[in-house]
Amino acid sequence: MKVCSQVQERIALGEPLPDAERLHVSSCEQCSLVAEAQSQLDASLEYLVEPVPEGFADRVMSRIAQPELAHAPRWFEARWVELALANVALVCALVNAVRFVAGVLIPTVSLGVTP
Amino acid sequence: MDDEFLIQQTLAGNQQAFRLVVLRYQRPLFRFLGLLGFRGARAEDVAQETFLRAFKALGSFEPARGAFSTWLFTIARRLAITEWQRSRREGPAPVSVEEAPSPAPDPAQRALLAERARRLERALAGLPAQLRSTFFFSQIDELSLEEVAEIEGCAVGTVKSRIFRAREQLRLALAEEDT
Repeated sequence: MKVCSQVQERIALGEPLPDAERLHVSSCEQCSLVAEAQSQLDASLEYLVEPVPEGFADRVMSRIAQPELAHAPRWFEARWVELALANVALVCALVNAVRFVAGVLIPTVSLGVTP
Repeated sequence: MDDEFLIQQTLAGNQQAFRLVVLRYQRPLFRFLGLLGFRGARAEDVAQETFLRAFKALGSFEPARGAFSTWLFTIARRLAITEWQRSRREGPAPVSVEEAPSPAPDPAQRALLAERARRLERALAGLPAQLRSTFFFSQIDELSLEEVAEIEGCAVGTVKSRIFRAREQLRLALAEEDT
């Protein structure tokens, strides 16, 4: 039945049922079996859930307060900004290296040609 | 106070604002890790690392690209997968349902729930990886279906279908063991 498949899909997705569908579940054996099985599944899942250990937030904050993390990261510490700055520095270094080599080699060559 | 405000405050140097972020997300994060099979110290290690990484990378978080919860759980997911792979290389983690909290006060009911949880862990382990991952995220109340879809990199329809299939497979697996 269309209603059954609609209701069972909603139950399986863990969505709340509207009143009309809840009424249907109470009168439909097939749907009430599915609803019962899913609620047992939810109860078992709750058993697997890990509780938050006492003082967890304090431990996180004390690690954050350690010197290497003591200040909050700022915009210029974002990974992409760091990468961009590193690339700019590399390009500058290459340009300077080329200029240096050219400056050393070119006078030498011209000296060699001059009698 | 919404997440964006707390993040701005943290970036402006107010560390206590980040504490509120931790308090807000610690419960769903432990829930997620617990469902993945992380218990006790292992769960705490991954959870702490998630918040530390989030804090360090906070400057790169862009609210326009998605919710903070999506971003945080993406970090948690990556860390959990790495930890999962590491522990698998070193040998399977012991099944530790006994360490889990006991919501049922009655000892008989507690034993029954513990047994069902053990069977559920086996059934969860038997789910295909994609179904399992999507299903775990769907169990986090703080994440909408759209956010789960963003983390999983698929359409909302796919998320719904995966949740449906995962729940059906789990239900059938538990029903089979009941008979």
